[in-house]
Amino acid sequence: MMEFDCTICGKKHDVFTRITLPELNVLIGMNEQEFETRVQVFKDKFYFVNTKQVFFKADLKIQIKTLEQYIRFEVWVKINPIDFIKMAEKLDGIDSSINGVLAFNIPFYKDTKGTNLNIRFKLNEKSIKNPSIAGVESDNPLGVDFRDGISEKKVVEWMKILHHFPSENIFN
Amino acid sequence: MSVDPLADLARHLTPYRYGFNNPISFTDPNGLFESRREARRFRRENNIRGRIRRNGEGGFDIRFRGSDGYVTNTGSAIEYGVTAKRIAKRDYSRSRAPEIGTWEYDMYTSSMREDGRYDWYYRGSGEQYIPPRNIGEAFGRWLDVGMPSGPLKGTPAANNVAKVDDVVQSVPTTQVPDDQLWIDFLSGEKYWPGDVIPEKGKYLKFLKDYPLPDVNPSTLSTSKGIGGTDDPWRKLIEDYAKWLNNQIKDNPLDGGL
Repeated sequence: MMEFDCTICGKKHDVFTRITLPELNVLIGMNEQEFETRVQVFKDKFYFVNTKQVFFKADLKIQIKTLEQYIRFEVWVKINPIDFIKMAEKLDGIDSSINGVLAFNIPFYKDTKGTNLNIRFKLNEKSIKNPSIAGVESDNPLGVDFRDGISEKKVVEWMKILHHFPSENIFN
Repeated sequence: MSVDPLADLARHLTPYRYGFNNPISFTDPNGLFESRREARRFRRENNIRGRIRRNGEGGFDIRFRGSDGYVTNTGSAIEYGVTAKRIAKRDYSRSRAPEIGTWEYDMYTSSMREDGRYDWYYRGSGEQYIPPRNIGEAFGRWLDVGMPSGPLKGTPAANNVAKVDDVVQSVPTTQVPDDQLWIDFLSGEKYWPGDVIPEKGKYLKFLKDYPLPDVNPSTLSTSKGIGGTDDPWRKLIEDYAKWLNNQIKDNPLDGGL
């Protein structure tokens, strides 16, 4: 499903398979100076905020049921630093995972901030790509879609918004 | 569970609304511009408007807030397709063979073949693009099938690279035959001879004469010992945990998430 027929304009549009989100400072509306004071960035991957919590990006894949294709959201997750340290003490496989929460709502899913997640790091990958969301531990619509997948119809509705009404608030 | 420590810093703002009517950025997280200067030149040559930012991979991205330049799909979401050119630059600047099956690019380009060099691309649908055909104005996911050496002659089959026909629908428990390499169309995951395909899906099959690397990466991982320095995430996690430990010693935490 790389294209769809748009009922708004009658044209064919591409399906965006990856949706990325802005940087943390943009999301929280913090100016550069304040951000530097309150957030410690480690190798452009981990953000230690107010010396309390760790933020980083992860990929959340939602399957299009009928096609075995995915819409991939890049999301910000938040974890407890103590959990992270504990995870680092036992990296004995090729995967390692940690529990955390969604740091912000994600597009098309209202009120998903704070959703419990399981995040998996693939330790032996050659490059440092985003870790992936291995579990959404909630029965909210995001959790349901993560487990069951979404219909092509839903994808088309999303894409129509992205193509024609990108300024609409798709987060709330 | 404590309050988001950032919440009090921006109460008047709904996250994602800041600075854009379009909340989603155009980024290329796999961008391979190695220097700001290089990115700047590319931006100029391609009439792109965007800010150049350091990315998490040690390189630079051109980031967009809207749909200027030749991105015409309005301000919505996808990586912007300067990738093809970067792939070419990366691959051809190396003396060794490019890695096959790099599968991570959402791209847009209308001039990927201008250098006259050779790569093949498969769209996520399985459609094949062979030089000198242009990709055209298309967003999507592409599989970069870099040629191991020299120019392309003849057909894909003659070059021992999979054809579109070789896209296989697999079922779980299928075992990859000897001397073949399968690549998951969706995830880019590679499966080597003897590997068991874990889930039903679409895989690109490389024919047996394709010059596969001598060493099976999974073997490599085992023989070096998991946890070797070749595992970048492992190293990063360990380094960061160490760093965090030091931070927490100085500023004990008073709450979890």
